Amino acid sequence: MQAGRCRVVVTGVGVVSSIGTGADAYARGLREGRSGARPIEAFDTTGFAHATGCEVVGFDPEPWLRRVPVDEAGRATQFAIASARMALDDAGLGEDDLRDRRGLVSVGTTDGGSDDGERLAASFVHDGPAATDPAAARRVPASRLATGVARDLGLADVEVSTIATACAAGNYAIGGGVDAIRTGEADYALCGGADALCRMTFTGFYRLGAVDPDRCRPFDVDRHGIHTGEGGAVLLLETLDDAVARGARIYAEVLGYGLNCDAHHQVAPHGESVARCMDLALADAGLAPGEVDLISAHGTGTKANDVTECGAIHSVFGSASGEGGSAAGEGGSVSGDGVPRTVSVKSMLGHTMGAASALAAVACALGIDRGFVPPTINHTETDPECAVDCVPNTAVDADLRVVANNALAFGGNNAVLVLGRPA
Amino acid sequence: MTGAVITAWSAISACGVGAEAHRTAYADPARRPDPAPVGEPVPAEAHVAADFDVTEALGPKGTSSMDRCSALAVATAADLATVVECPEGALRGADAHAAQEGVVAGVVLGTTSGSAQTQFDFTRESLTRKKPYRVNPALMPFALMNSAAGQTAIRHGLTGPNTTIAGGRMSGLSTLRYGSRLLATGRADAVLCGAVEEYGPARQWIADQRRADAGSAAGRPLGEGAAVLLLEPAAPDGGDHTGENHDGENHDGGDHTGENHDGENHDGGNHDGGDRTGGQDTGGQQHPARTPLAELLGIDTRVAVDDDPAAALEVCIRRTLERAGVAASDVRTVAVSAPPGELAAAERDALARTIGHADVRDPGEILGDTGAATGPFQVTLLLDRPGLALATAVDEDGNLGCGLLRVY
Repeated sequence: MQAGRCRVVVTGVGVVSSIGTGADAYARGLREGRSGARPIEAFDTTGFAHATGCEVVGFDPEPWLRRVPVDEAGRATQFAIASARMALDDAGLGEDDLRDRRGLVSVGTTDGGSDDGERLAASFVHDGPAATDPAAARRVPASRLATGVARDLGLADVEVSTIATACAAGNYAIGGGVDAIRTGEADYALCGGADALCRMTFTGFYRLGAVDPDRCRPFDVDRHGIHTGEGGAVLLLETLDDAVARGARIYAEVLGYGLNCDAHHQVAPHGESVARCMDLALADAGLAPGEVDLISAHGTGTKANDVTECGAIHSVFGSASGEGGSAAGEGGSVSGDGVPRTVSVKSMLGHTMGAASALAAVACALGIDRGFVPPTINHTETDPECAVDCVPNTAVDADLRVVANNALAFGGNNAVLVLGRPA
Repeated sequence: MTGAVITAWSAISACGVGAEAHRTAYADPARRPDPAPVGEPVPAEAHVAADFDVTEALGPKGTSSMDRCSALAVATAADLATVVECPEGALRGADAHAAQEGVVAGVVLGTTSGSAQTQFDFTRESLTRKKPYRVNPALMPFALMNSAAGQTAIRHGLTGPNTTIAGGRMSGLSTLRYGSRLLATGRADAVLCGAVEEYGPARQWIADQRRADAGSAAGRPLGEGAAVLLLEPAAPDGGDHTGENHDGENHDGGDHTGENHDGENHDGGNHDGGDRTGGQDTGGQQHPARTPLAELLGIDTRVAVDDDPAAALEVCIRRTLERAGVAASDVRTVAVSAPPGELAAAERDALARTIGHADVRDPGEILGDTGAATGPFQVTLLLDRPGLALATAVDEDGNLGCGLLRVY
């Protein structure tokens, strides 16, 4: 960490996910290695040979939305609002505590209101332009995710942004919150990601041959792709000083983050650039690779992602690990070549798109706070081309000091977040 | 102070391609194209960027499935990417080390929902073909909202932070604020900041529904376009920029209200002026550091949680002026976002209560409603008149704010 810079910590987390809603249920799901996979019901899957996804079942928006009418909020907005409320409660703060402070609300998303958009498109296809659903049309703009959070919490003095950087959007949003606090422009940040299951995204990945017909198994030699998922996750960030002053529980400190763009290919990740992004994040955190105890990988379970990402991880951590402090640390968390344990929570949650790296960041914070490493489930045999200790199938107890959370996206958008145990 | 300056800009819209085409249209109402009728399946009148053809602009490779949003962004950014990459164009704020390693240029683009047309076409294919997955796989990445920013990076080799903000009509202010923070935190040496909105039947159809339900009149026609500003750190010494008088008064006695400038002296007359970008021509190698066109003094935003957008915007304006230490009476020019329906009146009300004397400009009068792109277009409308200028924005979902510029 760099001298003179204000330190930013996570003091509250909120989660809506297919394996548990709320910090405690989510932590239990992670620890138990629960799978959120089930037959998709969110949209008509007739004609697809297989359609397994990680859907959030039984989510009721009513208790969470207090000011924004439920019919004005699309499903992703509902997830964002619910997650934000949970994060606030979890941090021991009420809306009124934030009213007079300057804040930032940032929600990452891939699809925004596209679930409403594609239902509108379907009515156009079936009934022509005369078909109308003005309420749905108003729910389409993605800006409503972040603005919805501010409106529902009654927060006026906030900078709000919906970050639409596809599957890395959650980390982008969290990083934006970190910088607003570091520069003194915000006293707190509510940031994370949200996405609802979307037929378009499922169809696109299916067409690309990137949906596993059976189960999502990152790093496995027999992996065949993602399962699309949905959910939301929001973290409450504030300065270490504020958190200490009010006696807050601190899950983790945000030590740094990095952003870059491959500028290479629309859908194929670029290993060198992904490695560079991890380097940027470590540099921002002032850490050497060897000080990282755990990597929460993007780990989608596609052939291309996992090989490329693991290659990048090996290039950053494999040779340089000896320089760091904790390779032989209490966590005992490195494989033979110095690469830290590398897990994918997408094995449990599916690929929740813009929510993915936010859900993973919360998993990292919970892992640090509660001393465990979430497993990579559905694992049989590690692909030698990946060659990581992915903590197969069963969580392990570990003393985690530093965790890196990777996010990659179509468009070559990379974002890596580094969280650490509060000093 | 954000510490950021705007050093160049480019745009594509119904007015044409490049900054010069826009300056011409801004200056002369006779050069502004009327909205043209667009036909089936959703008849309307719109300000379409008719001069812009995707394949013509970007070539055949990789463009057969490309959405207009992405293509407009890529083509608009081309001018600025060239400026950034120019080895002689060493950046004012960059140290020698950074210059040696190359400029880290980021891209921050605003949108409403990405390419509504690509999303619509994708869903239609899935619903009408024999099998629901018999879609064109090449469409998929273009259907995502980050396609424009990602494509801009890929086509121009920009490896810095690459962020898409779905800000709707707030996109201009949101991207400038985010972009200047990337500069302040050292995450980028330069940022291409802007927004893009395509025109197509899908967007028209959704807009029609939103309007119908809001009970508002037909409103102004939709427009399409992209505008991108090059944002860089201000010179560390406070600048040797061209404008001597920073107080917005007595600058030159001239009245650049839009009737008499001709594109040659648009930016104060002290620049070399000229090429397609709004900034200085770095190709001359006489002045390696780009001359700023304007300094970004401050941005403030709020959410109108109590459904009183005029009051919330008034708070933003007063706070922004106060933080910058300037008087409202010194602001000479204002550009409005002119949202549909009653919100436009709220925006005007807030201005009447604070900066009622200023010359008000509205890009929608020239370009139609360009949605997310309205914001950066507002800024381009302010750059011809030295002194203090303000851009306001009000989005339909309650997010609003203003940005204060010192135009040189």
